[in-house]
Amino acid sequence: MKTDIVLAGVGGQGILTIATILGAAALADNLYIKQAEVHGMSQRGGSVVTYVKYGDKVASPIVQKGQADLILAFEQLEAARWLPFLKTDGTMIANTQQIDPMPVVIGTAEYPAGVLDAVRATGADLTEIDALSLAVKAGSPKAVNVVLIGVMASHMEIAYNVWENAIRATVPEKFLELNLKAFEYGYSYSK
Amino acid sequence: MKTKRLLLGDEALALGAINRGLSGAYAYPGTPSTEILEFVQKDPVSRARRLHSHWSSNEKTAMEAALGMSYCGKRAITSMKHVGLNVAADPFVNSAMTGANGGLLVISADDPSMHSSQNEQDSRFYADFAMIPLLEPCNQQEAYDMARHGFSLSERCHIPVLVRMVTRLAHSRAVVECDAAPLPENELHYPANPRQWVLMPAVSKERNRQLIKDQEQFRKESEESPFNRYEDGPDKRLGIIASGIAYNYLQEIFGGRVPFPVLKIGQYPLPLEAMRRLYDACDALLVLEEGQPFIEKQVRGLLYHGKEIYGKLSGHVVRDGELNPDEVAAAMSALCADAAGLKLHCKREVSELVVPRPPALCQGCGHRDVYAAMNAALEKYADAKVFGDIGCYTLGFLKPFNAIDSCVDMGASITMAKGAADAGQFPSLAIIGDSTFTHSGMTGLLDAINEDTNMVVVISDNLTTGMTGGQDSQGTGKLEQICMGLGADPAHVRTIDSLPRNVPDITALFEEEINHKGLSVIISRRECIQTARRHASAKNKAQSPKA
Repeated sequence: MKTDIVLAGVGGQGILTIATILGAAALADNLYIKQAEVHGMSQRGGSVVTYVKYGDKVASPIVQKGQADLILAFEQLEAARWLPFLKTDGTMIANTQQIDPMPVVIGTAEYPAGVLDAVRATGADLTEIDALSLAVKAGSPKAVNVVLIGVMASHMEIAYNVWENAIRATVPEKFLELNLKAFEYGYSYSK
Repeated sequence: MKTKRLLLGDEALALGAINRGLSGAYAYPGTPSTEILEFVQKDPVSRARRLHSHWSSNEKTAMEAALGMSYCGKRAITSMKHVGLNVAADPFVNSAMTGANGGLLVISADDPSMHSSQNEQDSRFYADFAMIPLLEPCNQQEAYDMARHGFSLSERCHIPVLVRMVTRLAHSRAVVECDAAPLPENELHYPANPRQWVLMPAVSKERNRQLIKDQEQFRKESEESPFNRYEDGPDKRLGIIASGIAYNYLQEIFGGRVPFPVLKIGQYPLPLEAMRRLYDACDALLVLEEGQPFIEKQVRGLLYHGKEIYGKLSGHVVRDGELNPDEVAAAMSALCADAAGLKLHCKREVSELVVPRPPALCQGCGHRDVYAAMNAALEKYADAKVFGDIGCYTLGFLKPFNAIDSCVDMGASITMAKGAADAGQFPSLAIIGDSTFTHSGMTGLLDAINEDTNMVVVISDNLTTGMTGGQDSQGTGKLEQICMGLGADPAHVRTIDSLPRNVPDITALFEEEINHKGLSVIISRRECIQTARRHASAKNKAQSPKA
């Protein structure tokens, strides 16, 4: 039994923090987990991807095209960019947030319209979520990543309290309540 | 007693070293190796024991310092990215001649697919070149275990050991079983053969003969290594040699049950006996390795006339870019499409809607203001050339700046600008960061000062080593003094704060110094906004106690 997950977004959105929480939860649950990230240039507003694989035994740390059971996309364009990694019967959860890439910022390209519709049109099982609004409702726009991990957690078998403990171990104490709320909003979100 | 931890490959290696009595770690930041020294800096045992973990100015000074610690009988590691080994090559190759006293591990982290590097050179060749043993872990557990094995091997054979990491292992996390308690460090003690450490020809000739003889012992160590493993299989059509992380990918595509005989390689020089055994048992060989065809070339040789050997050189495995399970599966399909248990995946295509998202300088970065001013000052010259260097400011190559014309290696900005000026290039500018400057810009600047070359050196000082995550820079607070100490004319060492409101003044400064017929240095300074933010929040935490 093995589950392959792709976390995709933009440098600065807090994807590595999510990967840390996920790792802590999986370790606490005694799952064999492997997680791969690319450091270095990704931070500078570039495309960031983290692979998380867990199961009975995991050899390769990277997820291949057509192999992801679940893709968690933190931004629309990134959802489209990493779609080829989704299994034919996999699930994609996409934040509706749009972050302009540099070519768009300086005016040499346009942010495409209807990105998520195009994704859905390929037949992918897509759940859209306005994670930013939920994060603001929980107390801060910076909690977008925790809302998304809540949605992801609702698709996984790790118990709710294991996640709570992982969040408790990762985030600063003064932000704990807001993060737990953000997680809960994501967890109980349905299409 | 063992404990379980979720660790990056880099961290597993560092922890392994600490738990085997490490006394010092020396490094310069470089992706994907940076986290090795960072781990040593943060680890509680390391802090309690006050293990050396200060950043070095460059990989050469790091390697030499580690060698000095080894001379005194203590265990040391030095870590760097693959191109950093080029910088450390002089002491590295010669450390094979001196040998090691205290265990010495040289860790080089390669970057196949050059996610953040100028090339994807394969460090394994360096071990062969220097004639020393090499360890190549296939997963995080091996990275941890190889620290023990490496130190032991190094002290038994009195030789440094190269450990080769790759991005996908260095920057991926997995559960590692670690020792609960660390071993004590070595006591200070001197080499049994001190003469060997003075590499004059009379000594070196003798030593070289001994090193050549020692190759046999190193090969024997490989034959007996727990990291080289012959795993038999029923399907003898193909014998597979798989090294490092390639072994993992092979396991991945067969769900852990490979039908072919496999020789797993984790220690070099290559184990000849095991390789002969594989060759004799199978119809053909397939070599799976991450990087350049290092193993394949050796197996094949130039005048080879035996069984078929498949790999990168035969065109069956992709020649460039990192290896991955899909590539391995493709090679397998081409060779034995009916191999039992081979798992292939169908693929979707990328939508043409997808706009590229290249990395860019952060909003508010001081480098932006330097480039704005520089571009304004150079507008009137048809043929201005700006020689760039390695750091966040290399992103000035991209739109909207399009500011630099070259980026080759650490420090090359200054020296190439000088060579271009010698050739008649005007205006000739170099742009370099503060860390890169102390890494290897100072000697180039000395050359330019000594000849008063007509060029402008721009040091864009953000008080950090930025691209790798904000490590301390070794020259902070000393740059002006260094330039003047090297003999630069104080009238042409200009400093300015790199702020948007200063851009007209910075532009004017550029114009003045371009017009000066001789060497000029402009230091444009503002703390990196990422590190500034971190320092501010750390300060807040320190000032307001937790409720």
